[in-house]
Formats: sequence, structure tokens, C-alpha cells
Amino acid sequence: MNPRVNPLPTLLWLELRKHTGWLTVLGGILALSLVVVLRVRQEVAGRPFGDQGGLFALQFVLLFLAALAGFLLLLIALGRASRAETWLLLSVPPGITHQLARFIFGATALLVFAGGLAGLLWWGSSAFGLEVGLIGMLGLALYLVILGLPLLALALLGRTLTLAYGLSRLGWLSGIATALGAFNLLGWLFELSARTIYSFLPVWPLPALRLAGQDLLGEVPVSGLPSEPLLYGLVLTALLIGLAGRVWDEVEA
Amino acid sequence: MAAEVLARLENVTKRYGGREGLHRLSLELPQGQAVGLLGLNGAGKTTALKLLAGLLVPSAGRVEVLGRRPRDERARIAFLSESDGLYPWLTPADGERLMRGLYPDFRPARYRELLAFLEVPARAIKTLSKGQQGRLRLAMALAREAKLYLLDEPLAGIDLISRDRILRALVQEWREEATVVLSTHEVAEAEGLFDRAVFLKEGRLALDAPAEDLRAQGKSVVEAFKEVLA
Repeated sequence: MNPRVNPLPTLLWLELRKHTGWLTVLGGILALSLVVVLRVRQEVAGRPFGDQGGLFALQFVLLFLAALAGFLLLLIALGRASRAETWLLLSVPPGITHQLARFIFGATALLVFAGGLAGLLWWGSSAFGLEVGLIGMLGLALYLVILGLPLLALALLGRTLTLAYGLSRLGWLSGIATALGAFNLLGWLFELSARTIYSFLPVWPLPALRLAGQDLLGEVPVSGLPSEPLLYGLVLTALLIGLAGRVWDEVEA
Repeated sequence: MAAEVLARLENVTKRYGGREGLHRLSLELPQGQAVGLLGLNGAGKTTALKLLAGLLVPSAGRVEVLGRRPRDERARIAFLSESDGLYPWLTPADGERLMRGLYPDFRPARYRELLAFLEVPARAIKTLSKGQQGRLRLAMALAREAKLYLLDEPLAGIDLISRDRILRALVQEWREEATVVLSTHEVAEAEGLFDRAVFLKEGRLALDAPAEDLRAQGKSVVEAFKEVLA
């Protein structure tokens, strides 16, 4: 291939153009979450935390639901196959480049979205007098994003299989086999993580959490979250993207 | 001296479930030849082109382009599919950006010339007529400096004026070092383009003859087409 052509920027641009609608929805979820936090801040201004526990829980639940909805939307966006893309299968860059571009786009969107929600949660908590470390909060968002990466990679693999075989005949078989295999793999990963947590990697620090100068996490027996599941998740992500790239290179359409 | 064989199908059979799309088809495509792939709907034209493009794998037999698997030579194959759409938001300028980034052999200046010649408006695909969309896709395919052009029904569903422009663009673009395989129902209009006519009928090779030989027998490609179908 001509070394003057670097397909990755073009493919990232293509993802951005294709997903403008989805990104707008994600932006809308963030905007709505901002409205919720603003409204809650107005409501609790100057009142002690003890009187506002219910409202704090409601805000937390709403932000959690926003995070879940955004993540599911992103999975659907990345997993949707379109016949309009068949021509891309014949483009010169190898399948792994195509899959990497999609993955980088999805992971970046997820990271920005999760970072935005984490910032809102931090800001919303401060209205209740809760002092949460911003860096720690963003770190927690990053932790959760890394745990979600294998699912993004799985969505890409599913999309490629769908594009390759359609949802008929063998397509159903491959889809069912992939889904069953994925659940088994995730189950095995969970067991492995459960067996090895806190055993050989440094912990992922929890954000500091103080109320009226008192450390609320002082009584928690661990100093952070286990990092081992992140390692397994990253390895699984790399394997799934590699597999999706290989399927792309052999696809029939 | 015989021209070098650029692509080859050897006893190729392609099955879709229990149905055979192609049955033991053998073809050699020499460099620099313009081949008309002709036949009715379901004759196996698109299947043959997709096999040559590497979008399908044969159920039996072998397909080679430049001595390798077609998918390994995709940098040298330009494929225009009848059925594939493009993104509805895509404009001709977006098309140039995409093609530049994905195909090292893409010629932007030639692409702009083709857009002007084919009179493709600078608007998103969703606002273009079917003929304009077909012309845009053709410009994207022909602006590449490929070794093998596979054009699947570039004239299908396109009005007479657009057809004329497309045929003239094809004639302009023919290069001696490239091989072109063009499938079409519009045999009468396109027959002047072919060096060779390959007729498929129900997935089988019905006739493979140089257009010159047909003419020497006093037949046009259209007449040969009708004979094969009879």
C-alpha cells in the first residue's frame, strides 16, 4: 500500500459523520442530566445533607440511568450493520484498521460521555456538602469505561458477522453461537476475576469522599477497586477486535 | 503475443444453500480486454463479479486475480456494485475524501473531471436521482487506477441521457493495461464497448466469443444474445 495514504484519520472521520445523530442523542442525555443537577442544586441550596438524602439518591439514580441509556445507545450505534457499507469491505486497508477506527471512535465517545456524567455527579454532590475528589471520580469513570470496552468490541464483532452473513440461514447460527459463546466467555472471565482479585496488581484508587470534613470511606476495608478485571477486559477486547478484523478480511457479502 | 491472463475462474461453482448460482464456470480474463458479461436476471452475472471481487468465496473451484486470492489483490480491483448503496449524507466532496483516504490509486483530478463530465450535482446522495447516484458511484470507481474493473449493471434503471454519458465516460476511461468486466442487460447500447461477449444462462457458460468473431459471422452481440436465450 502506498505509504502516503494513512486510512485511520479518514475512517475516524467516517465514523464521526455516520454517528452524528447518535452523538447528538448522547449530548442530549448529558444536557438533560445537567438540567437535573441544576434543578437539584437549586432545591438543596443551604439545607443540611440529612434532610436531603432522598433527593441525593434520586439524583444518583437518574445519573446512573443516563449512563446506562448512553452506553446502550452507543452499543446499538456501533453494532448496527448497514448494507450501505458493503463497498467498504473491498477497500484497501485491512480489516483490523477498520475495526480499530470504529473501536477508537466508540471508546472515545464513551469516555467523553462517562467523564461528563462523572463531572456532573461530582458537581451535584458538592451541593449536598459532599466533598468528592474530582480526579478520583474521573478515575472511577475511566475504570467503568474500561470494564465496558469488551462489550463495545463484541458489538463490532456482531456487526461484522451480520454484515457478512445477513440475518438468515447461517447468520442466525453464527449470531446465536457468538452470543452464547460471549456469555460463556464473560462468565468465565467473571470467575477468573473473582478468583484473582487483589492478588497481583495494585488497586485502582477510590475517590475521596468526605462530609463535613469526615472521611466516609474510612471504615471501608479495601483501599481501592481490583485492577485485575481491567487487565482481563483489555485482553478480551484486543482478542475480539483482532477476531472482528480477521472476519472482515474473510467476509462474504 | 497473447496478453497476460489477469484474472481466472477455474471450474467455479457457487451454491447458495441448495441452489446453484454458478455451475463449473471457467473463464480467463486477459489484460487489456473489455468483457461483456451478459445474461438474464439470475444468470449468475453478479455472482461471477462478486467472486472476482473477492466478496464471495467459491463453493468449488478456484478464483485468481494476478495469481492470488481476489481479497489479497483488492488494492487493484475496482468494483461497482449494482445493489450497494452509499451513505445518504455523502456528497461528491465527501466521496473524494473517502476515496483519497482508502485507495492509494485514487486520482482526485480525474474524479473531478468525471463528476463534471457526468454532471453529478454537488449535493448529498439522498437528494440525487437514481441516475445521478449511479453516475456518482461510477465516477468513484473509474477514478481509481485499478488493474481490474468490475462493473455490475452500471446502466440499470438509468435514463437514456445518463446512460449515454456513462457509456461515453467508460469509453474515455478504457486503458490498455486494465481489464474491464461489465455486466449489463442493455446489450444493444453497450455492445460497441466489448472486445468479448460472455453469455451466462442459469449459472452456466452458454457462449464465450470475441465480439469480432461474432461480427465476422454477420451477427451483432444482440443477435447472439437472442440466439443463446432461445
